[in-house]
Amino acid sequence: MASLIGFYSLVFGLGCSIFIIFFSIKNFKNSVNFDYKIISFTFLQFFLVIVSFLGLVFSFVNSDFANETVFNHSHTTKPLFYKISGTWGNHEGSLLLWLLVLTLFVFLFLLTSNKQPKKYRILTSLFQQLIIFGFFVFLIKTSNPFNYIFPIPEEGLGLNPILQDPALAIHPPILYLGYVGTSIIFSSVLAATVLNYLTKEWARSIKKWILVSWIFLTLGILLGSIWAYYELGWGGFWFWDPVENVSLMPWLALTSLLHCILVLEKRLILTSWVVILSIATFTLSMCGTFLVRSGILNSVHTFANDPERGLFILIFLFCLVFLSLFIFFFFHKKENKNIQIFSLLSKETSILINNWFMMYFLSVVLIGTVYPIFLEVITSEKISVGPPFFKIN
Amino acid sequence: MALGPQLNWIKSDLENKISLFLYLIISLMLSVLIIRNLDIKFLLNSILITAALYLFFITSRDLVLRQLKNLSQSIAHFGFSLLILSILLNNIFSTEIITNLKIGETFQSDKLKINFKSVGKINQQNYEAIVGKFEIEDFNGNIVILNPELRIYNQPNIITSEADIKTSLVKDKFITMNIVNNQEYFNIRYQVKPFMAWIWISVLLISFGGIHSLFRNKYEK
Repeated sequence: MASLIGFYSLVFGLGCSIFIIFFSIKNFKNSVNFDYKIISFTFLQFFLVIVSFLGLVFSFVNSDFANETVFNHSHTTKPLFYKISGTWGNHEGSLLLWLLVLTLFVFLFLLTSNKQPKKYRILTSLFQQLIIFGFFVFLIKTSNPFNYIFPIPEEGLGLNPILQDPALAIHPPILYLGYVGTSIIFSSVLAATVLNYLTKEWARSIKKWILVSWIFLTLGILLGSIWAYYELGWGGFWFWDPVENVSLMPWLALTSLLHCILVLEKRLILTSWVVILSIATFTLSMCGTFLVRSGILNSVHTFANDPERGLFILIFLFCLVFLSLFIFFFFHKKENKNIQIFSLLSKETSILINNWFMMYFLSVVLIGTVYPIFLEVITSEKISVGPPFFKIN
Repeated sequence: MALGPQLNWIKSDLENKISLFLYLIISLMLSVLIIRNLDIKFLLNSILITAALYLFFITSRDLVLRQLKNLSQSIAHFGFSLLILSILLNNIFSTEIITNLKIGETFQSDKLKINFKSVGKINQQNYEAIVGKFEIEDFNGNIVILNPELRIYNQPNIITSEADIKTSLVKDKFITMNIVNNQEYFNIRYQVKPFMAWIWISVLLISFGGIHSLFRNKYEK
């Protein structure tokens, strides 16, 4: 029953996306005032995803093995805490958590942005809905957490023991808050670029979202490191595991963005760089999701080994990157050259140098992470890139 | 990161040049003192430690002198400098012993003694654990007891190795044990890892800097 409610909530949540997109386009074209139906439907969508998520939690707590996800990742002898955390300790449940955070953030954005221009709010919500819509379709079509099994098994297969740990129970939700926070930055920067609203006010408003995302990503990485330190038994806190790397890359991009947004807020310069960093941060977060879900990477974090899922995310990511680059090249207006002047000894220069370093580190991590994948595709040779590549002493 | 916060927007004069230079000299001397007797690449490590110490001194000074002005920035930058320094020192000074021992056996080196005292068994709801008892004695005669576990989960049937860690502000003592196939021996990995707690604390400081900035109304000047 809980699974059924969860599934239908998902379907209705997808329906809400269509309504929100319809009302957003209508409101963007016609009315002067912001249409509050958009907020109402966004809240309804968020509520439906909560119901769906709670449906899955309930199925896990009740050991409802008629649900395929519960059967594959739970067991009656598991302590209650790990039955609950098992909800997001698998591909389907963790994607549902992604969707929950996505809908929560767009709802919070609409609630807290009432001083911003109407068109900017609508367009940000619209871009965010495109992402949400993509995730709904992905979840329902390829990764449904509510698939039914008959005959109903007596017992489940259990959760991977290394995931049965308090730090790992809270690590994914915290990390996802960081990852998904970058989607609001992405949607917002696209909206601001289209509307030529890359102003000091915009920088001030988006800085809060950058901070939220950055804080959660930092804490999420910390929890993952603490877990790896005592659970994996290698005695280290960072192993340059590909999945660790894919969380470090958005963090580096986000840290650069956090510094750059200060320059934009104070001096209204580096707008192009801010746009590129915002797009890059979200793209790197999505790439991380793609690499983990596709089964391309072998890691303790790798949940799924399904090419269909990987292909879907790859196409979805390609569409988003194409859309964002199109908007950047066709809508972005160049800065006034007169205000770009600053001396070598200035905050702007030091932040730019900081950004170069960050981009250098990011490139090294990126090469170390994707090189084995490309090598395998081109030569069928399997290699793993680990600490010797990254450590210099 | 050391110099940026000292500068103004558009154009500025670097104030306190002499004190900044002095910090650099002190950092350089300290780094040479730290690594002169170690068997590591001297030039590379002295540059790394000098840079890390310099950043640490400057951000500590900023944190103390600026007090509440730009507190979030000062805390986050201080946390970052502490992180870099802790990682570097942890990397340089970590030691590891890997050996095979059976119950009652002792491993001895010039620095410590690892005595494998016994094993016990614990039953939990979803696993059984074999708990080892190890007595570690250092060259000063200090003894710590560590109890790593081997957990045999019932569903799925997987064995995991759980480390036991004695944490202090200065160093962690870390031990794991693993089964050696078809033998009465256990594979023991013992590590001393300095400044581990500081790595966690520094990341918390970085995050706290962000949280402080988020809940502050006034923006940085």
